[in-house]
Amino acid sequence: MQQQNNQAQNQQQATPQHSTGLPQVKGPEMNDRDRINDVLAMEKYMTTAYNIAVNEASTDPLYQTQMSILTNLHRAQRDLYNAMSAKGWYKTDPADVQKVNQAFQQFNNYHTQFPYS
Amino acid sequence: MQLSTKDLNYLKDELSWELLAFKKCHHYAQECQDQQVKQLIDQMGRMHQQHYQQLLNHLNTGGVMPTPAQGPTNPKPMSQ
Repeated sequence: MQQQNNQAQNQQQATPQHSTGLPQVKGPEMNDRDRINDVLAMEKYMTTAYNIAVNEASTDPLYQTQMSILTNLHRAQRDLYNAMSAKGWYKTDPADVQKVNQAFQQFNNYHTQFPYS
Repeated sequence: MQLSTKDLNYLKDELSWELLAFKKCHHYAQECQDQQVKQLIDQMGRMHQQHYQQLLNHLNTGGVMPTPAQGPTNPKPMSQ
């Protein structure tokens, strides 16, 4: 943890994935990143749970209410992710280009199995 | 509209999740240092409270639909 902070200080990179707005030395107390991360995890949990309920709703009004809530939660989850990503609090690992090409070649060859023209 | 036992169980679960969600968001928003994060989390809290009211309406078989702006579950707006 300490090492990571020192590295970040030494590099002073202004890349889009550079973390902003966090204390230099992190303590045991929750910071803004922890809070937004916890809310994001909660939204993810709730979308999973609502999905099961939507599938089993018996009446149409109930289905519609739950479906609309599910859509809101997905939107919220996306907004939280975008905010974290903009602050460099949610880093992603780019896939190997060669492996992507390999996968494309593999699945592109399955055209012969398509039943619909 | 008649609810099934399963519907009722889901609704009770959902109301509990939403209640916890907006209480958590309200609490976190007050602690946030970054204004943008604070606003976003506060907005999530308001959304969850609205969901709570929508779900509660499905349990109200008496026909009296409480309006979203009222009721004891309405936390005070954040002090700016």
